[in-house]
Amino acid sequence: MNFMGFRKTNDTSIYSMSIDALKEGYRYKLFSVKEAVQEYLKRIESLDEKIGAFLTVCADSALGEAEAMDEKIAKGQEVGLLGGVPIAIKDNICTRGLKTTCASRVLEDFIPPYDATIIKKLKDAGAIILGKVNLDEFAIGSSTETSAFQRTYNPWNLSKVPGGSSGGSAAAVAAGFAPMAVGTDTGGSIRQPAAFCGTVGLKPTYGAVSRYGLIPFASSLDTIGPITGTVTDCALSFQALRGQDMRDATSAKTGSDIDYVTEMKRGVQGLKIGIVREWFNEDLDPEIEKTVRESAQLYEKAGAWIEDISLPIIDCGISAYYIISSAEASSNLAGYDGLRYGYGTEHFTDIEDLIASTRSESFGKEVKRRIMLGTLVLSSDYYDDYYYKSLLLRKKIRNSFKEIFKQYDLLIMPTTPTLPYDIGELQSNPLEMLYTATMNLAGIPSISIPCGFSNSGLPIGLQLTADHFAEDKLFRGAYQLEQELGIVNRKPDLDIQEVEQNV
Amino acid sequence: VKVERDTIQYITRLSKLKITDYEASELAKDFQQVLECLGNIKEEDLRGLDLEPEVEIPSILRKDEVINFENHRELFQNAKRIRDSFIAIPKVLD
Repeated sequence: MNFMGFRKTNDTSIYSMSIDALKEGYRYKLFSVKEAVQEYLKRIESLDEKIGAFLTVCADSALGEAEAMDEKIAKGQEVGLLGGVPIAIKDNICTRGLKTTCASRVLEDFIPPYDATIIKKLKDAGAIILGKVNLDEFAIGSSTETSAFQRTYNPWNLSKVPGGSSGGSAAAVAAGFAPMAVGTDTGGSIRQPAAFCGTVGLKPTYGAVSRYGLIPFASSLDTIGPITGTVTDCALSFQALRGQDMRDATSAKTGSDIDYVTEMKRGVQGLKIGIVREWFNEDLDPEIEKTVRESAQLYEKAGAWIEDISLPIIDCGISAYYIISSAEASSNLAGYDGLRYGYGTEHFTDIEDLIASTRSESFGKEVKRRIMLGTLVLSSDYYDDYYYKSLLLRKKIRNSFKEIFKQYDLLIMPTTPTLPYDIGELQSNPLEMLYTATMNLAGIPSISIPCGFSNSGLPIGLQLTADHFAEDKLFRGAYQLEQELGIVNRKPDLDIQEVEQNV
Repeated sequence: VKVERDTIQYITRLSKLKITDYEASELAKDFQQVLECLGNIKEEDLRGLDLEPEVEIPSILRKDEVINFENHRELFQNAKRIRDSFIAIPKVLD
């Protein structure tokens, strides 16, 4: 199996290490934080030209923070859960003094005067920000191709998309530019790119992680979560991100004292896992179906109860998602008028023209399309048939999941219906979020983990979902599978791809 | 439902955007298809559902207190023009 060339990582390079291994390295003084950060920066500088993950790299501040962290370690001070861990941040999350663009012309020069709550939390936990990564404009999309600034390429095959909207985050982790990148998930925007890039991605329960400082797309669906190389790193990162925040009234206070890393090692013995029939439908790629079903059998061997179940309502989930998310986007993006900050047009006749010209010149095609679709379903002729019905349907979906989770601990399904597709093939296909968007409607948590590779060498993602605030069960299921499959050390080999391209 | 080009023009105004006639025709076709696709929600039985929350959600408003933002310059760094301590916006009235 050496189609694209796997990078076998019994190699000891720092950029191949998990968060755990990095922390061990610091503790035993095998290398300093500064050396680690330098190695990541060097790798980004030499290879990101091919991947296009980063929109902004902040080398100076990262090196400064690394030096400060080394001093702390030398003095034997507490360094935090992510002490000295280099990370990347999706460019729709506000970082004080560091450009935050949402990959849109409208915020091309926007420098936030404050940190998002999760940025504060990550800094308090000792993480070091290497830079900001690419996304679909305003996180609306599923291939990162609607970014106004650059394309991002899938590290496993440079002719494929990395998925989206957190394509920059997933590609950065897969390429070894950072062991963790923060993403956001409104309909699958963490899980789908995590699956396409062979990484682990968690969409937490709605309310588990504060969104203060996240530039919103659809506020009733938006969540923030980690993308990492391993399940352990994902659990650690989630632990650092989570918690109630008085600045986000939707953030909740529940189960804050669980230690996920200890909890996840309990295995799946005795857990009841449902396989939802409707998610293995005619839209699903047969190779993905086979790989996911094989993984389900591994759970059975590990002592879980597996049962086929039916949840017909999820067929409509994608429609309700598309309507609600567009409606909320149209309202959230109404504020970009070019008056106080952000892009403003030079030529206009009156105030209406100033606003309309600003918006038309600075929003990309897909963003405009969603604003208009959202405005349409909120307009009086369409409101009752589309928007209001979607809200009711959302409630029904939530109730159905609540019923299911009275009997089952986890549900298992593919993350995506297709393998990563060619760049330029589909700009925006709502079906890409077919297996992920329903969870955003219900507000329940889901995780995507790599479960194998296609014959063409592309990663395949498996998704687990659980009841509200049952992330511990997701980690138990994900960790078990990671151990059983033993593919966690397979990484794309960027150097070999270069050779192949040059031939 | 048929999405007419007039509807698109109306929606464009509401959205505070500008599009060409050609784009309006294209979007009318596009949205027609999208709405047909999304029409499957109409077949769902939604009787007996309402949007009331099942459990009373306790108010979690934070205390209403003044927190001074120390660095005013930073707060205004994204404004295009500042005059005295105000954000200056383009002249839109004669």
